[in-house]
Amino acid sequence: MMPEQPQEHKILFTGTMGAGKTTAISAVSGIKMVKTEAANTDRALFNKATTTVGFDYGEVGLDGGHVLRLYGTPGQERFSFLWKIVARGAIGVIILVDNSRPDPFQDLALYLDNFKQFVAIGGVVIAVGRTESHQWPSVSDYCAYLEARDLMLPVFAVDVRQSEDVLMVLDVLFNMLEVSDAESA
Amino acid sequence: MRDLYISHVGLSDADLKRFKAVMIAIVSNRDVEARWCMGEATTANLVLVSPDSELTQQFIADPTRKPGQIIAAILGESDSVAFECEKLAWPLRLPGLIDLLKRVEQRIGSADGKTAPESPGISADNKLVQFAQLLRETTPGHKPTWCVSGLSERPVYVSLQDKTFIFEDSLLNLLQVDPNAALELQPISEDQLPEQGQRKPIRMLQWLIGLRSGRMGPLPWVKMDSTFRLRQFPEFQLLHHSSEHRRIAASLSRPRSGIQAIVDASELNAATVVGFLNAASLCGYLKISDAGVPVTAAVKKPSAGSRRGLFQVFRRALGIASNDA
Repeated sequence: MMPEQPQEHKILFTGTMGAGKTTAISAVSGIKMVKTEAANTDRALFNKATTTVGFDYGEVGLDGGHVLRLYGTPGQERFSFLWKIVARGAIGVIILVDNSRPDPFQDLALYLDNFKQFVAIGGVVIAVGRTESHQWPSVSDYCAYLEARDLMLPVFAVDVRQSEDVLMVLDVLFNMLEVSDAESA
Repeated sequence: MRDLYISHVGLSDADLKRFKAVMIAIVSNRDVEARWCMGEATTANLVLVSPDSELTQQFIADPTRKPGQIIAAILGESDSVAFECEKLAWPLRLPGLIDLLKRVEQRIGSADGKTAPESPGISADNKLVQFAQLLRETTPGHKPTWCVSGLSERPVYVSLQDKTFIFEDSLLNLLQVDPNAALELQPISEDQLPEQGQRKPIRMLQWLIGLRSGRMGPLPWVKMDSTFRLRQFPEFQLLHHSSEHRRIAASLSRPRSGIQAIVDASELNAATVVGFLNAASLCGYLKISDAGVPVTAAVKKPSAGSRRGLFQVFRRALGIASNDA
């Protein structure tokens, strides 16, 4: 009898540079993360020494040799051509928003537009970071913004350094996808 | 996991205190299969009684008691009892009560509570409901500060103006509040608040009171046939919650017509759904409308294409707790 082929499943972490994609994947990855970083040449705009130039990769081993792959997209918009490529075959997207940026709503809009196929099936969860130091917009402001766009998506204030926050976000994503599966039956 | 209800009649203050402490330990340690909650005596599945109390005799003779209800008498060595009942040795001890709860679970069988409550909701006269109404108060202007006694051994201080509360005990005790508790709601001034007490966001209190009241039924403003939808997901990092609450929240990302539709969509126990709705309404997460909102039809069973099994595999691998078998 032929052995069952290992199955692979993919979840994306996306968001602006510095939003915490690399940190979020590290918090839950079962393997040492593969990071594709280079020196950041945009220090005037983003005070980070390095930035992701390919995509971050982590994985979680599943029963039977199957794998859940976690991909972090490069944050800078000039790498957006990679987003569609990485998104192929993904089951859902976590959008990380940095609340310390000048216009977080504009940032969010960019990712909602670029990942609209996931928005349409409810396969998106929005995780807002740095809310302790930057209280505006609040989570309810984000929800009001989404409602104005006729959307209802889960929004949480998170600290991606805390694995329980990242796991909570992932679990909510799974629940949203289960609801979507049931509705599309 | 099904919900079963326990209550008490005629117990002395000392026995009641011991009973509550033992129940908190059982619930915290998950020593039994069902989720046991404090209920009203006439409708509870199991009622603990003191054999020599007049209240017990009146209760035993009450024709409105739930059919099939199990009575357990707490008996000292020389005590006897004239009615048919289970027996628990006095003083009440943890192993004895765990054994009793397990026997009751087996006797009651597999009632799954998957039908939304038929009653219109908890009476507005109920003190817990009045407290919930107070927590929901949103009229503009200065809001008072309250000292609430009777929820637990220690009072709860609520500052509606600041949207904070002070409670110097375990918050989980609030999930075991006796629905018959004689609560006292006393307005106080801000300078009467305890100096040392840590102020917590009022949403934590609203949430717990909402969950607790769910065992009794929908709060008066949560109507059986309203349309429900979340305006915001609950702040799960802050609030005591279970994996079931996340599932209910996901099902409420779309409008649902009536409580039964949510029970069907989430495939969960009605009391759990009602508790969530009560809690979410108190915290302001829930949009409730009466009619005319387009809704998604509820689906009673997962489709053949459902990936629930796959997501359970993900959860296990990630170490995310789930109540699914």
